[in-house]
Amino acid sequence: MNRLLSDPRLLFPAALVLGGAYMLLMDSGSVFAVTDILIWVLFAASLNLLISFGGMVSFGHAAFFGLGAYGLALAIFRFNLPLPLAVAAGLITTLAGATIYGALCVRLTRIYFSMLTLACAEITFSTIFQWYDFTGGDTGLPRFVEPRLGLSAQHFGLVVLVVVLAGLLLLWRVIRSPLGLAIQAVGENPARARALGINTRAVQFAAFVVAAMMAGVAGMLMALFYGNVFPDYASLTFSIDVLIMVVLGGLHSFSGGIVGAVVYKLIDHLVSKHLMLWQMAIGVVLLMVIIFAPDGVVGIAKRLKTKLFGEARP
Amino acid sequence: MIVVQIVNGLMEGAMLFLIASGLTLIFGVSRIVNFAHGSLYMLGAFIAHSLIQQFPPAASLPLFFAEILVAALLVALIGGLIEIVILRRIYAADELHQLIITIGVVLIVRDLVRLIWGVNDLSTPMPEALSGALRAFGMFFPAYQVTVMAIGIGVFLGLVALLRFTRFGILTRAATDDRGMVALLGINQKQIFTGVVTLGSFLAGLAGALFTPYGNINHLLDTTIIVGAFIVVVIGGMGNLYGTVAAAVAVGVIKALGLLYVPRLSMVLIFLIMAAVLVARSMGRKAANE
Amino acid sequence: MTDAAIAITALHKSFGAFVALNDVNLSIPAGQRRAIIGPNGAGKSTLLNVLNGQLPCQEGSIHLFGRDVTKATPHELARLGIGRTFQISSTFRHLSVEENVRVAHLARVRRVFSPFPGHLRALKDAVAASLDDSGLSQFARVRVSDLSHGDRKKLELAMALATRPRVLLLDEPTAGMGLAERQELMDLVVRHVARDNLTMIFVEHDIEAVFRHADLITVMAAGTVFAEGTPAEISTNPEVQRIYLGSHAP
Repeated sequence: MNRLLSDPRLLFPAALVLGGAYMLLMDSGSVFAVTDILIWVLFAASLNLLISFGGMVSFGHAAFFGLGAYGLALAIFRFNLPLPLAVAAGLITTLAGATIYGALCVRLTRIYFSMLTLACAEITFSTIFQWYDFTGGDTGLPRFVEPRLGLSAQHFGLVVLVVVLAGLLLLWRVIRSPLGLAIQAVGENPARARALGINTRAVQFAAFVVAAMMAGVAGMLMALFYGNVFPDYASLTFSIDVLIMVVLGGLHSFSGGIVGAVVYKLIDHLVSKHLMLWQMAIGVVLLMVIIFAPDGVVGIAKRLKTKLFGEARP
Repeated sequence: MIVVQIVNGLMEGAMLFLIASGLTLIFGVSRIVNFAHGSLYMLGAFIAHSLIQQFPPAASLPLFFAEILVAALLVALIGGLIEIVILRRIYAADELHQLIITIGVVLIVRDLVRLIWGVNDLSTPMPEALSGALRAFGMFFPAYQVTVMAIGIGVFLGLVALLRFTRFGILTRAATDDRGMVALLGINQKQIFTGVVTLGSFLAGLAGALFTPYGNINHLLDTTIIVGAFIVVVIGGMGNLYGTVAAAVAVGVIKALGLLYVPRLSMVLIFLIMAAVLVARSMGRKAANE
Repeated sequence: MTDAAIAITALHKSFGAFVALNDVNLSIPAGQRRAIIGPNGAGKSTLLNVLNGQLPCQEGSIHLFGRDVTKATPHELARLGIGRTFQISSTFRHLSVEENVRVAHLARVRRVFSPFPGHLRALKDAVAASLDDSGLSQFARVRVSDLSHGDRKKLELAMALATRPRVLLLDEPTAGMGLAERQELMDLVVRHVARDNLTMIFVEHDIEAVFRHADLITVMAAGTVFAEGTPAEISTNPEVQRIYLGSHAP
């Protein structure tokens, strides 16, 4: 069990098989819910790379979610490009945004970095919101494509599962690579890293771009899922939601973002089904977690595991 | 037309100053980026709405202003309580956790507001005496805007006096300039934090209450206003009251003129300025070091 | 004549109105072990911070083996051969001891941007050697936050050495350590310095260590070089005795 949960060579295929079975066997409603969660999982995991490993708290990560979604949607809606080219357009749009914003943002640190990411995301949001002729403004681009590309809920769910798992695997590989080690080192102690000869800004830029690209992919999946794009995709609300997920899940672990997204979305789905107060529920859970378990849901789980099975292997 | 827009801009600047000054003071002493500040503004607006509904001031200006003041004081009380019950627990935590906890407060307050006041836009009648226009220099100025501006100026002068001449103010400035100082102050530290958060909440409540008769209010007011406040606080140089005043006026006027001349770029413009200020300042710091 | 390892000319650094370094001139030949001593606030740490590029200086110049590095950034200087430790030991606390050293080796071989885990594995032997050299092998998998103060100082030294510097800057390498530990660490330092023929500049309050290990001592006071000489000269210099040794001698 322990080995399954810590070794990606077993974990990813297992998730693929189990998730695939779920997607193909369950009813559309359940598949919709899980597809939505999966997209947020990738989005949150990408931000987690930036925060937990790179030490960079972005208030504007939704900018890239929005850029990916709009890059794809506009390519189809305005330029009638076929899907593969539209996907390329989404990636290029995200990359362009990440390059420009990243180059600026990594010049700053701490709260100033956060505030600049917020400004960049709001620039993106405002542009989408006010460039009515091109982006459709606040109505977005409804039905720029058949929702789910016309696939059944189950088949599209399977596509999302594969893409999200591939994205997570890539993030995992990055963290385990030399670059990932450098990202962690720079995130924790930039002065030390510089004194060792590491160009900290360049490392941060690399982390920023990788995280942004994965957020862009998540945004593209969302756009295809609903067949719509809205300026909300790049909004502060989305940026904050994904930030909450990362903290809720717990910092400093790869699974934090994933678990956080799942917990957040479960609270959302379950509570809003019964009463209107899901925001309050999330607010209360957040307060509790931060005050009593600052290492998040993953931290709680780790402590439980230690209690039940003894000391975990490091 | 330009003059009217500038007056509108100045009025918005006054509003922005009221809300941003509290935010910048709190950031100065505690280094907490308080997202809940927008929620306190929203509470001020809704409480003022209810007070005015319950006890219609009609033609009585003193009653109207008393209600605004009561709303602001209630918000101050709520803010102080939030500091004591929640924020105080996390001053030692890392920045991200502090920030997220204030977001938790935002979510709770938003649903509470929805629960109490519903989800529809609410409008509040403006007192007769303030809904007209004042004539000066051969032009007409909307009376309410001018009033808000006057209050903004009054609050600014009051804050300056408070920070300069009172013990509380001096301690607050000391805490803002040097965090190490705060620790040396020992037991006073808690009182200073509670005091500053309460004061900041009062200002947010006041801004919200003053907004009530001016526009429609709803439970999404918090996000709109907090972003505006962040812009001003950042441009003003986080923790700097004088910078905040200048930034609030500048942002208000630029926004108003932007709406007039480049309506399609009005939103982007402000954020571009914010980003430019942040980047320029980081380069400035480096240059100053060399 | 060969170039000095470090040549500092007319260096000036101030923070606002406070002058931290005022017209500092220093020349340190390659292979020398130079101690910098002086009372608190003399500018010793500031000097090291300027030397590794952490703080830019306002006036003056710094040459490293004849090359002008006055404007170089910390990571450029590190690549040009300056390694350092910090006054308050500076490591990556969330990472294991082994990973800390691995980061240093990664920086040395310039594979920081590599996406291939193979480049990490290739460093295995080098990392093991570093750990072995500094007596940290048994802590390889321990998280640095769980490490004792003394071992953290050793780790920092191991990281600085792993980048294969030509000049080693040590800011109070033994601060906060017990007597036995102090000697052990200084012996470790000196062994490496001798083996790799490094130039070493160290700021230290432990006068005994200074006298034992320094070839030449620079005494700083109020941001300037106050005296310079061999341990024997410095220990008998009455002025130095007065401003410094008088109050600190054991």
